[in-house]
Amino acid sequence: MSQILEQIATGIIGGDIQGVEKLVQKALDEGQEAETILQNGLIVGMAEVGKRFKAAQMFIPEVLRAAKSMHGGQELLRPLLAGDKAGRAGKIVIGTVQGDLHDIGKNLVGMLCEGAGFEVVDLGFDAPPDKFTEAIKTHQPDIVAMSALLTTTMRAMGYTLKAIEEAGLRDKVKVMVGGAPVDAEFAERIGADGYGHNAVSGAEVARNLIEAG
Amino acid sequence: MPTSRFNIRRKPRLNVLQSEQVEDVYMATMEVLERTGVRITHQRSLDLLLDAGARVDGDRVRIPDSLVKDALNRAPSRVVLGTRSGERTVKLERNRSWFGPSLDCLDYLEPATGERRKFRLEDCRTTASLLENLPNYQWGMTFGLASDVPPDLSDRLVLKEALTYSEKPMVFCCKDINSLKDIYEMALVIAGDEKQFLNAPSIVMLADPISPLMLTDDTLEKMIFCAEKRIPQICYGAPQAGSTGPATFAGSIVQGTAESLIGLVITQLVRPGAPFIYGAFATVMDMRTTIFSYGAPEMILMGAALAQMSQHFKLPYFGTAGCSDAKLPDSQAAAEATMSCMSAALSGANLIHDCGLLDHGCLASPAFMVLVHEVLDMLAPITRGIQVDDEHLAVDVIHDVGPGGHFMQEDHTAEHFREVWYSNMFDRSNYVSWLEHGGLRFEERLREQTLEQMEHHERMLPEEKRKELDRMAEHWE
Ligand code: B12
Repeated sequence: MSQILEQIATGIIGGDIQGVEKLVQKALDEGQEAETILQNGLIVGMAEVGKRFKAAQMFIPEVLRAAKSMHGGQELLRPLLAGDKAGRAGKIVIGTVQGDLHDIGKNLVGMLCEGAGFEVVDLGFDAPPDKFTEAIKTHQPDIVAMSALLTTTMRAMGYTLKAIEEAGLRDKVKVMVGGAPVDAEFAERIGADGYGHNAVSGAEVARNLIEAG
Repeated sequence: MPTSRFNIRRKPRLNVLQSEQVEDVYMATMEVLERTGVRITHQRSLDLLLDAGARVDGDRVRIPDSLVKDALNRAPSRVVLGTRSGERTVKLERNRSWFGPSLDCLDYLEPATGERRKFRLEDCRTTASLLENLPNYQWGMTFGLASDVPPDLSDRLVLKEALTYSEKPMVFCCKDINSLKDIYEMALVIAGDEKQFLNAPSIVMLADPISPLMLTDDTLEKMIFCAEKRIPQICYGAPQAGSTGPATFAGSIVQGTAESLIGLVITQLVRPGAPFIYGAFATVMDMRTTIFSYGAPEMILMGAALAQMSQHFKLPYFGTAGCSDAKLPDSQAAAEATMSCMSAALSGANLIHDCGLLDHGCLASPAFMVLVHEVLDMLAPITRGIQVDDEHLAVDVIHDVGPGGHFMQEDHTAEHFREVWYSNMFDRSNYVSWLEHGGLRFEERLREQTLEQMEHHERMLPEEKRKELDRMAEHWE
């Protein structure tokens, strides 16, 4: 790996928002391919961040800063990247379901998905099923992510899934769910495609869903 | 742990803020209310606030400190709760502390088998009966949200269960105004009529502002109803330092105070003198796991500071202690709960919840309730403080025994040795007798004692009232 790509990865890990942008620009000026900078610089750095967070060597504010520097670098590369996604991992519509006001977990998942290269549309909390279906129509996301923290609002995930089906949109999106009362079994029961128990795993699940196609 | 008037004066005091700092926190809180304000969309609340002199700009309400001062003047400085038979038991005043269990858990830790599973309605009966049997808890909560009943009814069904199997006053959360009306109706049936209810209110509503600085329409609707009916209520946000509150502890205390005081202002505009309990669940986000901590030392510290603020305001205070981030009632759980209970008691927190709660708010554990109950028992002699008078200074008996003697046969010893605390759970025997008694590990003794505590006659609500509640429940929706 060239030195500058290594520096970019290190910048990401250190959450050096301006530094990463400068380095990305420099790498471009030196004639590096946008795709190479993305894959061998930004993504390498972010993967290391994920690893370190899991090993309790990094704290979430550091992870979020890393995600932000990743995002900044990526925005610079976007116009130069080929393909309809222009270097994006995909698009996610995320929200806390109807009746539920807990949004911290959802916010974290959203930020880390951004850090993983996704474009994220946030529907906020207490989002009724039709807000999700409308957002699917408007934003055409690859993934719909739902959060619920209450036993009493978990079922709204099921209702939302049903609404997505009834609107004829189910085969257009993958659906992932999470939140304290939710588990993998519940996710399967309501017919979701993925479940994550924390924000880092949420971003991983999102990537896997895209890779699985 | 009943505390007499005399004891209150003797109770050791934990002051984590100097009096100058209390003023600083107060002024900063007023600045937040006046400068940043609070987001409210509820029309009736907006009208009330505007009429009273707040500045309303769309959904942003900014409140001058004079409005807070008026509210503080109108609010009662003490709230007394009672048992369902009308006995006034829990006096929320000065630095008196009253401990109680937790609410709305997702899961239940079966005390006999150690199995962890979803919380069910029947578990509420078990925990409420256990509560009845544990005298260091003077009030209760709804322990868990039952997963085996229709979700829309869960809030009322668990409370009905708790009120049926325990006499003690209950703090509850409910989903909306309709739930609240049903709950109030239940309380009136239990008390007999409104007069008797007001004489010794046996229910208290817990309302949550959403940090930072928001109150939803549903919450305000419920708070106004409680104020009108004089149902005691707690306005208790959850600023989580570093995520929904500023990362600094003083900042989270300021924000939590602002979130609670806005509730005070509204309730006192609705009905001057409406019983109101101040508080905030100020804790930290654990930045390694992102969990909302129920055992952090910073939570304990901020809780003590908030208790001091309440004494400054002369408002009763709702605090948090006796809970843990551990997944089992183990050594970590005991350490965290002990520290928080001691700090809550010594800072003079009044209504202290979440004893027996594990896994940062997710797991109700009868065994942990029993463990924390013993911690509270151990705390009692500390909160009683040291009696200092001629008899207790013991100069005469020191003189009589003199250098080199001993005190074991003195009348003075016979009269006072019972002032020492003994545990039925913590072991002080010597090694050989410990072995002779089976060499039981603490966890094993705790399990045994929990099961013993659970075997007893519950104090059920009289049959006619039970039937009436059942009839009411048929119409809940
Ligand atoms: C903070 C909090 C609140 C705040 C919320 C503020 C806000 N802006 O979000 C306030 C005070 C408003 C609140 C209100 C209530 N709460 Co609350 N709350 C909590 C608490 C203590 C922490 C939640 C939190 O923010 N955790 C930190 C975040 C980062 O973690 P997280 O949300 O779990 O998210 C992580 C993972 O779950 C996952 N994840 C989450 N979503 C998603 C989505 C996807 C797609 C993926 C992949 C992953 C994922 O990744 C996240 C990051 O790692 C929990 C206890 C707990 N341990 O969960 C109770 C808790 C969830 N609340 C509870 C309850 C009951 C309520 C209330 C009904 C009343 C009450 N008891 O206070 C009201 C309900 C309001 C409503 N209608 O929603 C109960 C739920 C019990 C149950 N059986 O349903 C809990 C368990 C606590 C308890 N015992 O009372 N609450």
